[in-house]
Amino acid sequence: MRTLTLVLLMVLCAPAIPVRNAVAQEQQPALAELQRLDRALAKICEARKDRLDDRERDMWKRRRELVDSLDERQRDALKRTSPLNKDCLRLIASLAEPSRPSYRPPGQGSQSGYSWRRQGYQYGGGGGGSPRARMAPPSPETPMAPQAAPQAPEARTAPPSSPQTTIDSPAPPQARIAPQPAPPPTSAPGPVSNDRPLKDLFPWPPPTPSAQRTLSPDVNPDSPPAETVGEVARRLERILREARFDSFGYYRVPGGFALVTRIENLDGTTGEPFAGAARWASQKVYAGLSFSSIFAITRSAGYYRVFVFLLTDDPKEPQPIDPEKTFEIARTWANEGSPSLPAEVKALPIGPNHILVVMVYEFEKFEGGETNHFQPSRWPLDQHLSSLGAELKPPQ
Amino acid sequence: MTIKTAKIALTALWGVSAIPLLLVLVLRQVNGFYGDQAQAAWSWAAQFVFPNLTLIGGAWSVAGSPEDDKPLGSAIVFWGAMIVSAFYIVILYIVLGAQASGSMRASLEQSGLFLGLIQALVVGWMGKFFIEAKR
Repeated sequence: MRTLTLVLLMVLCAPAIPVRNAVAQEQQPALAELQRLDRALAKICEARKDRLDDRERDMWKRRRELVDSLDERQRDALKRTSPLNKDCLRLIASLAEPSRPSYRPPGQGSQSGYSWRRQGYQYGGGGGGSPRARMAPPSPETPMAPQAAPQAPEARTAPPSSPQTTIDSPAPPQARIAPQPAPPPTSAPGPVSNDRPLKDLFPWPPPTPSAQRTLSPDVNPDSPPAETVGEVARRLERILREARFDSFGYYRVPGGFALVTRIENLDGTTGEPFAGAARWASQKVYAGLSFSSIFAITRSAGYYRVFVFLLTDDPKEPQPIDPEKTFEIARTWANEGSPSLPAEVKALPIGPNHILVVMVYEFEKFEGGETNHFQPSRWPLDQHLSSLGAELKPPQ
Repeated sequence: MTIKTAKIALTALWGVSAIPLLLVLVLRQVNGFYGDQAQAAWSWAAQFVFPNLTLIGGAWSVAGSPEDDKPLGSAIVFWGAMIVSAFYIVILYIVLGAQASGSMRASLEQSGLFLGLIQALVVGWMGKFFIEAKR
């Protein structure tokens, strides 16, 4: 009888065991499916589509369901392995659900719109938010928690202001990166700034450079110590202007800024930038068909360079990114940045944790072919820095 | 003009044109010109160059007949085959040049759109010439 009871018990328990195991392992296929979906969705961004078809909408819907079913650890794993970056996610979200309300706290928030805290999918806190900013308490009145973005200290220390829910209109990608009106300061006294707010440095952490070096935030060896972020920016701008840089753009990074120069066309033999207008040609203008092109047996290549000056008090390890993608980013980096720093960023004091890093990105682009991102750099960093025509102060 | 002379003329046109074209493709391949798109480049050649060469080779592989020494029956068919072939070969070289001066992927993929149509015309005309020559 006892044996019979035991057998009966085992028979009853047996189906429960695989069920429990199945529940425990259910997340693994979900993660695999998500990665598959993300790869497919990434093509939408590559193709720069301005609308989604039904299949793509279904994929996005399915993705949301799967992301919601993941726990925090799996979301982290997805974030690390997903080919979708922050901007791509925002783009697809805006295309898939143009009427979806997103929370944008006054005076902060991602300038590109969507904040998907519900999905637990915020790359680097919207471009490198400081831990304090990330820990900002969510408002109890909003269904979705606000995305904490890096802000000026005044805003960081200010009490949470009243929430304001905005509906993002289905804007095309170009419109989404357009600058928005500067937020009014929440607590700090002083004049209201009319400057354009800075965009987060995209991507953050920055792509692995070809060469980099830490410098003193004082910039020049003979200059007095820089007191504010604005002073560092002014000194760097002076150097860039003297080096006849056509344009440059600012981006926001934790505790400072990233100053990105326009992509330069280098002489492939010397590594020096070309003179005149040729210096700024980042795209080959295809010549008409010629006899030499018919019988050409090698492809001509262009060599390009971008400087990024990064002033931050929270440096991050650069991340490796696909060379083609890095080159595409580098081509428009300076133009998409802000031409100047907002007053509240200029006023930030330089602290002991601030470092200035100069990063150089070198590329080789074959005509109509592949792109090489030199790592390490093909030409020495000193040569690049000497082309700036100014001596830069090493860190103390 | 005899049929044999006409056949030689058409074969010479294709031989003289195709050899440099294939040589350029080989040299480009050796120099890494095509990078990771070498397969696409050779597929292009296999699709748009080799069928015509195979047709000519096939016509020559058939044993010669006494009719080859007869005068050409229809000059229009012969000259039509010559002109259409020359036109097609010029386009092949233009695409070859576009591979170097423009986007290689675009030139390989998009040239198929028009080359396929013209090739059908060329093969049809050449086929007619070789069949008529056998009658």
